[in-house]
Amino acid sequence: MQSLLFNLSKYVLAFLMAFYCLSGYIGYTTKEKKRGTIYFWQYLLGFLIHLLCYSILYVAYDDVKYIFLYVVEFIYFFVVIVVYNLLYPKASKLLINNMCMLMAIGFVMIARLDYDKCVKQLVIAAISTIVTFIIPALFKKVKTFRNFAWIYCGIGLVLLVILLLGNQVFGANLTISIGEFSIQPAEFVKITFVLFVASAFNQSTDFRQIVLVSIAAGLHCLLLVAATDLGAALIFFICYLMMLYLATRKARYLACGFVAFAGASALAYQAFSHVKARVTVWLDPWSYIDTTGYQITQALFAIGMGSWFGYGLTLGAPEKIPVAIKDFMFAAITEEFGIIFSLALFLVCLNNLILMMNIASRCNTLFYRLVAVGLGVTYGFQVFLAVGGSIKLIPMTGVTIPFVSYGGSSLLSSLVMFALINAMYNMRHDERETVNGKEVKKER
Amino acid sequence: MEKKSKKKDKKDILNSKKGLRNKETNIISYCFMSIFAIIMVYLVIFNEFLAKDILNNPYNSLVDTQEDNVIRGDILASDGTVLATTQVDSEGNQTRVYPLGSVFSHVVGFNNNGRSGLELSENYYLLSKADNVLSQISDDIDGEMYEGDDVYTTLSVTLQKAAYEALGTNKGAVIAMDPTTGKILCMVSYPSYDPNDAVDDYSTWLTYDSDDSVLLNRATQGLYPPGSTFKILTLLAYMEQNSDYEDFTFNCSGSVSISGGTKINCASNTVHGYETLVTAFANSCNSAFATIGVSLTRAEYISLVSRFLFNQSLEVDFTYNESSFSLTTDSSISAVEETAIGQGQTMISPLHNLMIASSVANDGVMLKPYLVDKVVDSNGNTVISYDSEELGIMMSEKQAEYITTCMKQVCKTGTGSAFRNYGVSVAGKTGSAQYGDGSNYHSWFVGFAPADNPKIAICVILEGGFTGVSSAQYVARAVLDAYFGY
Repeated sequence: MQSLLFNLSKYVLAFLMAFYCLSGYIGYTTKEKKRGTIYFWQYLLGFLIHLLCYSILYVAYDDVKYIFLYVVEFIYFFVVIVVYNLLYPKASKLLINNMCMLMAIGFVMIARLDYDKCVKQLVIAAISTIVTFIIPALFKKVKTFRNFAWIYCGIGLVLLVILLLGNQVFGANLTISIGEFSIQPAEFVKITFVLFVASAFNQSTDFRQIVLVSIAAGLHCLLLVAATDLGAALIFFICYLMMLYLATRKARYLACGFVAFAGASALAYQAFSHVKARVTVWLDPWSYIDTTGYQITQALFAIGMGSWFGYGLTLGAPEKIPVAIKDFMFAAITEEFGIIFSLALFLVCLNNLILMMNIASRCNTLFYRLVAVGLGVTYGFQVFLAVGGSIKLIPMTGVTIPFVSYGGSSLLSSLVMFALINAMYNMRHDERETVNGKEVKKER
Repeated sequence: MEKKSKKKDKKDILNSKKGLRNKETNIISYCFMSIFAIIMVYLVIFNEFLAKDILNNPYNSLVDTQEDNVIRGDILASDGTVLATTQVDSEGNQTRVYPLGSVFSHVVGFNNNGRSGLELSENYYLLSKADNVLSQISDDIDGEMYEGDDVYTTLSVTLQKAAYEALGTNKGAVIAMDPTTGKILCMVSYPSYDPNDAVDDYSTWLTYDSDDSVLLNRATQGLYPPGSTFKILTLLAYMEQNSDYEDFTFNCSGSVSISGGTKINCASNTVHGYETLVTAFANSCNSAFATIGVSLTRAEYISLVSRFLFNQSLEVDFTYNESSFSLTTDSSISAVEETAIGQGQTMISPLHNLMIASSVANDGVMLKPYLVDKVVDSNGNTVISYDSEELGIMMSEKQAEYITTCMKQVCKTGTGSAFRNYGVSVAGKTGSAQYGDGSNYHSWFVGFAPADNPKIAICVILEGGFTGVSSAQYVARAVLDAYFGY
């Protein structure tokens, strides 16, 4: 009976996950009022996948602590869904469900790799979520957020300079430690950066402003590259390019941007040895299998061995990939859950991006629209870098998958980003109502 | 007025037409859909096509997690003789059995207390079931064990046995391949071990020092001074640098003293007298070849040796050691003299020496030696099969033909006395490589047969102190006897 659970659960999980993924896309194409059934299926599938995974962990490790963890997580997800429903009934439920689904898979995999870290992640998630509950309300009340462009820029640059100095003086690895906690400033600069660009372009999109903002954005990227955080630098760059395109609606800026990107990459390759090292390993990890290529080759083994349906949860050996819990979560998940499952998970991430772009397209103010696109692109590109890097399609950049990978700063900033998006979603309803209200008045 | 309102429209995104308004966000969505689609397609391609090649890697320790669910596949000779198989008793316990024991010890390897040989390099296939998803699901439901894939090698049991017997109790190695394909026909190293005893005796095997180690596969990992077999490369260098090489003559007085160098003696101080290039090579005349060596343009000589993969990867799929060649443009004249006749600092593995001889046999094209012909699943379907792979053109056809003539002369009138009046014409080169204080020597033979239509190339090394056989060429002859049925 027990072995049957193990042998068959992977097929069931892949099926459930594929079905969940499908529900997200069906939900997207369904009118909002008719989405009731979709939400029901999403709750059912989500909780079923979560329950099944923890049952396997419990049976495999024969330890009650997994039941404890399951119950606490269940309560957490339950509260998140209920509170959002109560506080923000107009928030995008599809987005919130997807977020919970990704976090649930993340929790399972983290618990499977390291129980204590999962507890830590859960605590951070709970605290962060409470903080983020107020964001939509705050955004609605305070309309002056859009006026602080250069303040956001200043905060971001100061944080990055601290990060760079911290790196050089203390050799810290992209983190600033304060007592027990270590913070990754780059995660939060993502948000200030999006707010900065959005407010700046909201003020003006004349040539002078574009030049100034571009210089400031370039400075962000340069500091990140110097601090060896290539992934974040790339994300900032793409994010800026897309926001510029949206604000100016001129495709030629995109073209200029990509030319600049090619030039900057070539320069960075020549100037920074760590950039060169990453590219070398990407091109031929097999020659460095003992040293710098070890991590990526182990990840490729994990994905290849996992194949379509994986080993089954707890039956693989994802701990063999160094830092699987952060950089190589995708490989670890693929190894045990299989490619079908991880592709479905990947598609859920794409679903999030599409939902965010949809929210952006419905925002009636340039500022909100820019924020929504900025955050959406940041999210989407981060997923692309993390997954593309772990399958060696692109060089490894050490980027994590939001909500899935282990990491407090990443989780907090992702939760803030999603809360901000939901704030935008709220806002477009409010604005439409006032517009409708006016129209109604006129008719009268 | 009209102009003004147009301007206003352009500036105010909110009031523009709906279709236009969504254009940018839609384009961004499509961009992301495309790059996400690329990842998904790549992942599918990776799993279906690319993964096969990378998973069979000794670093892929994940394979071991399969051991409890899979009955390890068989390793077979080219004719289907079982070289390694797994027996399962009624309680499901697996025992790895090697029916031919120590004859195939190094090449097949063992799978207890670690892995070696083909058991290591083909571990992934032996523990994999290349079957469709549906039958895997049904096996999962039944809780049945998978049957791992079988590995068909290129090895010939007849030749392997002949080589093993011919070596007797001498330390050394025999390796032979088909020079036109790269298929390895036999690979023997002695002292050997019985892989059936790996469970009990492995710790004892580890206690031998490197001179006696039974675990060392001398055919691929043993490094020896090449002795006179290196004259093949010195000969080729002379041919490349002197278009009138056929007019070469030399008068051997048993030794030669070149100004700035040390005195070089011919073997047993034999005076070879008047020689052409062919007879100097056939006599293995040290005086002539030391003189040739010193006359060569140094940089070109070094680049030729480098082209033959010294100090480089041989790109084979099994464990081996890289050969080393340390001559530089600054080396002393005596270093050049010694290197040219195969003494000095040069070290070569029997595998590498075989590859050089095979490239002569194969019209100058060096092929990658390989051990695995194909991998077959439990239903008899071929999972993967391997083909000849060129490593490079080492010399022109004409040069290869001339060197073959020289090597034939070795067996006709020169040092290759074991092949006088032999059933087929053999092209070969003998070698005696002095080591240590120079009082003892390793015996080499490299060659191929039939000389004009090569079917088998062979390399034999006998470590110093061998007994019961007068030199390596007689071991080679025993293997060729077995091959040609004499």
